[in-house]
Amino acid sequence: MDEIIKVVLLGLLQGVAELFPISSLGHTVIIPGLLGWGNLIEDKSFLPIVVTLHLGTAIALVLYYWRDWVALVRAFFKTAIAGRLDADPQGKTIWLVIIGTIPVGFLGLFLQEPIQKIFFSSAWPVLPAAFLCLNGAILLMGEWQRRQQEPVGVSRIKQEMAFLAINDLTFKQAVLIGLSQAAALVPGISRSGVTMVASMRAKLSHEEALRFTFLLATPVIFAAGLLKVPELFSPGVTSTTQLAALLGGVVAAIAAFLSVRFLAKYFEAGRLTPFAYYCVGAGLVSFLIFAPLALGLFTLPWAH
Amino acid sequence: MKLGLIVVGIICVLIGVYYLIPGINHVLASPPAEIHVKHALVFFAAAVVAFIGSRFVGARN
Repeated sequence: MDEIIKVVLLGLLQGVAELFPISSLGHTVIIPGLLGWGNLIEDKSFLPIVVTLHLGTAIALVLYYWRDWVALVRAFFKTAIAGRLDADPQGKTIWLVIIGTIPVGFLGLFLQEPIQKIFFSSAWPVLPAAFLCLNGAILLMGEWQRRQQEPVGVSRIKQEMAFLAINDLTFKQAVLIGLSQAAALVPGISRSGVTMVASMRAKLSHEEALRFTFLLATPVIFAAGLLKVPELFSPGVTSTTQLAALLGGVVAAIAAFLSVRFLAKYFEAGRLTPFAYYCVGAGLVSFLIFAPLALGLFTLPWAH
Repeated sequence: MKLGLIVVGIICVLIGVYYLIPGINHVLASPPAEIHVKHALVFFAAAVVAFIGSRFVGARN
């Protein structure tokens, strides 16, 4: 029962925090830490569950943007066979997504392990809490820069219409946005947050920045989950854990689907500012709790 | 540019194969002596992108 509660909570956390610009890795480390559960993400017995949480999130993203993905896959084959980007109306978009995915593919491959070794070396997630504050500052800076570029005296919808769509990006901008995605390897920094800020710097509207962010994130999250599927069937994994993993995946998928639906509507006129304030506040409070714990000044009474 | 992308593609294929050879020292991978399918797949994917990309160069887009 205890494990089921943990799995459902982790599924909810992953599904919401992976897509909201508030860092899923940071939250899946900080919240179990606050509850005294230790670092579940690094716990070997939880690895199969982490795999299905990622797959659930990726499936939700594909389902929400399924029309885009059908058009993009068709565009990939048409452009690859014809050898021309203009062989399909979505030809440029799919190649912007592919080019934008390459940097995080390579950087994730070589940097993920060393970074996580550094960040998870302490029993308490002090560094992820500090980087959650930094994530908030990045979001605030992104919004501040955007406000300098917006036309004044018009409605929010009209302000957003003054900015660009994904197809207007250059390939160089796609690479830079893809590079920014790699910052999310650091626990506490949000993949969707930094990618949205980088996309907004390239003058995409909030809505298009969100769409590009999720198109870039889907292959990465899917590949990360898919490559670890064999862990689900490794010798030490019991059928109870497999069931729990399935439950976690379903909860993550539902939470992610609802999250992306909310965010797509919200960013028609909304800003990153509320998420920024949340990250600064939550990061600061967590830091003030975890730093004395790491120094051994007190212990959590409910921790075991 | 076209030739450059083809060369990049070939190098990526070779690096991908390198990560699939067991028993040799693989740089930037842990444990170094084991095969690393994830590394190989990323390099093979990059090779595919480079080869297709080379077809776009010179085409009127």
